[in-house]
Amino acid sequence: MRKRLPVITKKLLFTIISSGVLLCTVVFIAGVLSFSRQFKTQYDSSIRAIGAAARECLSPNDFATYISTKQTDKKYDSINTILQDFVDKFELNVLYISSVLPPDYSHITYIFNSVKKGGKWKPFPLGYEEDYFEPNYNASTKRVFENGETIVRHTLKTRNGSHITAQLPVKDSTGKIIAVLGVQKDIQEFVNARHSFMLLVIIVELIFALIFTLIFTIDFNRRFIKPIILVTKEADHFASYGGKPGDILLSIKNQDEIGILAHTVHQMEYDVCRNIEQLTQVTAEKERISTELSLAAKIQMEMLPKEYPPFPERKDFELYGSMSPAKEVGGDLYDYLLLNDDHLLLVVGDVSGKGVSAALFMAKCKVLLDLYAKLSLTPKQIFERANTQLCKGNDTGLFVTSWLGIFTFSTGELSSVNAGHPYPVLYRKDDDSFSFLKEKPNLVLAGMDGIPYNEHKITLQKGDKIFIYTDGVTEATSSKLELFGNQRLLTAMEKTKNMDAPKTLETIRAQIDKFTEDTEQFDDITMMSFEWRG
Amino acid sequence: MEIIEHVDGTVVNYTLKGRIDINASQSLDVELSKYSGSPFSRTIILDFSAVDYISSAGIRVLLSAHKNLTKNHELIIKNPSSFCQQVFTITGADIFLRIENDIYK
Repeated sequence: MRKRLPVITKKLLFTIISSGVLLCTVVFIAGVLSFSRQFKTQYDSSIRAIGAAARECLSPNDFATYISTKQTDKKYDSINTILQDFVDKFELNVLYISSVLPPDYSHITYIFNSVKKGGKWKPFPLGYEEDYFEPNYNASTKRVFENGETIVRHTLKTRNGSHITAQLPVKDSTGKIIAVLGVQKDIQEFVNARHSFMLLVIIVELIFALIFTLIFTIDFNRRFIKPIILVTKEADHFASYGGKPGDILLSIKNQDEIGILAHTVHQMEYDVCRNIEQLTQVTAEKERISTELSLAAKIQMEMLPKEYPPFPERKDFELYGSMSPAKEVGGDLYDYLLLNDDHLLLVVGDVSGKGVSAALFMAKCKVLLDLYAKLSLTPKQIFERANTQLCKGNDTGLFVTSWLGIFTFSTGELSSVNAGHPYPVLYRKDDDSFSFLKEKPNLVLAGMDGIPYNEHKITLQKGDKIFIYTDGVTEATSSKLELFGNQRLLTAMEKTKNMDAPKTLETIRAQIDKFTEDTEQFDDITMMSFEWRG
Repeated sequence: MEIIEHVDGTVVNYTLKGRIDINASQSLDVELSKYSGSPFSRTIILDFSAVDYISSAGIRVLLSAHKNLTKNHELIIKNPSSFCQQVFTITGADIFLRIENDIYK
């Protein structure tokens, strides 16, 4: 597989190269400009100096004679020799002294004219006249004559090559400008020098740029990009595939932010793994507790009798109870026991609070009540003894509200005790009506040691029913925080007149559910219905 | 539920508002238990006039408060609402609780 260049490297290379190119261009342009200016200044001053030196050799007062006679003399010849010397020594192209006439300075009369030996020019003889129309030349000549300026002109890359030309005014003894001295020098060598300079600069810059880019890239790659790519790969791998974190990031030894990043990521991976492990443990623990709770709930439910009919051989009464806890395990209880052929025990109780603690207390309570009932005690004695036992070591302050009754079939007598429990509902067949069995309750069980409980006796007729429940029924709460209440219970009971016990419980439960709608059940709901058929 | 405490010398007035369900009863328990170890005798008055509902867990708190506090302090339930009075009656809590009603409400 071909190794692909990382995107970050590509971006970095692009940035380095483009900024390098920009830098080179700027340096190059600046270098060339500065080189040209230096060179030109040098040439300018040199050509001015040559022109000025040549001018000093002249005898301007004789010029008028030379022009009018067109005759050379000894003095003219010696000056001409000196000028020719200038041309030879300074490698000038042309050196001339000429008179140019106003107003357009195009008519030229040459006085001296020396040219480079072996060059393409031939010297004009004394008094040679010509008309030369060239705007630059005419304009600069005009300035020389009228303003007395010294003018330097560059003519680059004409077909005659590149020159530099200086024009100097020549004055007679009165100070009048009578002629112009022109010096022209070849500057092809300057152009060539500039060319080679540019070439040199470009080559050197390219080499430097290449070396710089190479070194920078390699160094940057080693120092930054490699660690970053390593961190990226490791993080990506960890995020995508999970698993054990590797120690590969520890190989990054950078003493900078990248090093910190690498170690942070490394630390983070370990932390994540550790947290996941802990979470797994906690979840497993929760799972275990939840399993145990559901087991506890099962055990609790198994403590409550569920068979229907509970005593198939007894056709003279009908009985059914149910309990649905609000949490996994509840604190409600109900029980019935046929103590002997003539006596039936009925108990419904509600431990304060909910959950495991309530369930444990409820189990203790149920066992105690069963035990004392089996000892053939009266309801009053059962409660008083159970209360004493429940009060012992009850530091948690839990208590039980309970209703307990013993029904005697031979007499129809129901004797009951009430420890802070809601009033049972009694159905009297005679007047076909439901009403609460209102007996003044005593204090809850496990509330206070040694208190007496009052026993109440009523006599049932055949066809009478009694419905015992916990406050989960009357205190079932609707979404508007209304309680189901006693009145709604009585109304609901009206519908159960001709129903058997399971159907009765089902109907009441349906009424409660309709009332609370989808509000969460927050208390255990326990109901028990007994009918004496006789 | 809302618990408003007002201390007036050795008299501590608690005004309770709302529903004393299983959660609220825990906060009431925490509030009342802070007096259980106190050597200074106080009169603790619980104003129940604005309590709409009290669950069996709430009764349990009153019961344990009664057990723990009455050795050293006075605990008074004041002006219970009709629902609370009914619950106190049914559970038999009115036997041991000191319930006082203002004549002029």
